[in-house]
Amino acid sequence: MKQCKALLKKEWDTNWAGVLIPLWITGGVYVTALIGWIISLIRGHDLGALMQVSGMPAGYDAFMLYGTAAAITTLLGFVSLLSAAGLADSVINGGFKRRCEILHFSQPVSFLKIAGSKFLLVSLAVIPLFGVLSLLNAVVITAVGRQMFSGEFHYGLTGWLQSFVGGSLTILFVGSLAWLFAGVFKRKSFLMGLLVLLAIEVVIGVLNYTTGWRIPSLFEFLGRMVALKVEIDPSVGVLEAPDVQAVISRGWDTILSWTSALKLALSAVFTVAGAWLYKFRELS
Amino acid sequence: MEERMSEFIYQTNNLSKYYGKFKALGDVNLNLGSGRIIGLLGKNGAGKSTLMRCLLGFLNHEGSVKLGEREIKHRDHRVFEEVAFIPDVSGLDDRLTVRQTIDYIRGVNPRWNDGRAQKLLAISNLPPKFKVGKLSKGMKTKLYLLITLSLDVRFLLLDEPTLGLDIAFRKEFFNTILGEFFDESKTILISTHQAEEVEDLLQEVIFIDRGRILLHEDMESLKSRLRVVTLPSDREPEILNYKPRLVSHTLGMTSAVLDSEVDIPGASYNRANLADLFLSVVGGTDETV
Repeated sequence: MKQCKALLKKEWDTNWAGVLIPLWITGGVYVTALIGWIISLIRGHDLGALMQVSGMPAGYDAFMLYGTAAAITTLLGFVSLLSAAGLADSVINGGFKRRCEILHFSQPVSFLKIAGSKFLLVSLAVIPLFGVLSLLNAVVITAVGRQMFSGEFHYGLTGWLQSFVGGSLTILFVGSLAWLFAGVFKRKSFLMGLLVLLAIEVVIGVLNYTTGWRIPSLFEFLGRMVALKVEIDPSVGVLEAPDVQAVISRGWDTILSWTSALKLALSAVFTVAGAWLYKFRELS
Repeated sequence: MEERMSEFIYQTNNLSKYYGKFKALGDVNLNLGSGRIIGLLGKNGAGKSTLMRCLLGFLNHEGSVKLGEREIKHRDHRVFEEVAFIPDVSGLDDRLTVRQTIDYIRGVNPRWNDGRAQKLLAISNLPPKFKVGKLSKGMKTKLYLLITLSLDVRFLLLDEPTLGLDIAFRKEFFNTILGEFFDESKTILISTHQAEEVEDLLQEVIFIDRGRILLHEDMESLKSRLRVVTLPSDREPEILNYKPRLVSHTLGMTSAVLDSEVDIPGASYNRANLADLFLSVVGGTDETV
């Protein structure tokens, strides 16, 4: 327990700036909005001057609260995803780049504890932070949104929850993929990993063209895996007020689908494979 | 060395290491006993660091490495319950502060000896709140020495441990600090370029060149087996008859390290220092030690 605590603290001490990137960006957005609001007040306008919605058809209120909270959560999810990918490289290859791997591996600590503490930072530090910040954003945006729309508050929270759960799965998937790349490549691991995927995609394309095998596209598959948003049928609510309950149901169906299970399974495979490659690295 | 076979805690058998086609270590057979301070001397690129990294399981290798009864094939954290290591480069994490580094090692290493650490910290003058990245090279070395010598382990591997340290601290390290750590139950393997600094400390010496062990012997035995023979330069051929690996010329005199049994009338005889012994076995110039 003492070792785990010390390892986690060390990972935090060495990578906290990367973990907190979503916080910096959220803070930046709030500060910018605050400055805008203050300027607006100085010019004699009130808050309503910044947010005017007109021409909104009836019945859209609940959908707008749901959609706005979901969208803002998805945006932060994207930032958190980049943070997780960067952290994966930092926790695995930071020691190599700073020539201090030997210090860390010269201690009587099992590899499971070392790899575990690193993966915890990549996933379980990023995801809760994403959760807290996105919840704060969703509450704020829904509270502000209710000044304009008359929908119930819980629609905003539902939009947040669905986007948060879906986004967390994607963060886990991308974080694990970046972890695997970091296990393979010591420098510029994410870029190198993407180049390998691109090379595989080109090979698939050439094979499909020359043999007609119709091998599915790797990038198309990965695109499905990293989709951050919950799926909303675009035909819903184009001509008439959307059935927000149907949208929410569809959102849960997407989250509780085999695609999500596949994301989790692949995340586990990538994590184990990356850790295995990291374990058998030579230290020089 | 065979007489102390039962006490050997580190043993290598035909240990070899290749980097591609380059043979960095070739069939190294070593038996390192307990309660010894052993010097590992070699020129740059001789294989000292590679040998130490193989002993720790950091590098994949051919042949076998055994620590006690444990075979070391690759990285194994249990090795570090008995061994501590200082690499030849300052391998500290420059993102941590001095205090965080000390706290980290204290937390992860159950061999940490807080009393000794406090004593070492007191004489090191390390600024606890400074980031390691902001420390001078010498300060970083001091910190690495502090965290390593604060561990109660049986075996200490020091790869160029005093690189970057000033003369005063180097002297203090070899004369005092290392003495704090060492006792009869412990073994220290030191690789260093400063042969003269460790000379009085060493009980055994290993000479390595081009990945091969050329000599592994007790210091006393080596120093009694070889000595420096000096003659006027006009009598140099008498020395050359014994085919010494190294001949030096100073102020009209010619010197060479020769077997102690060599007796040349009129020659003067002196005890060889470690650098002389190394050069006489390995060959080369003073600058390469």
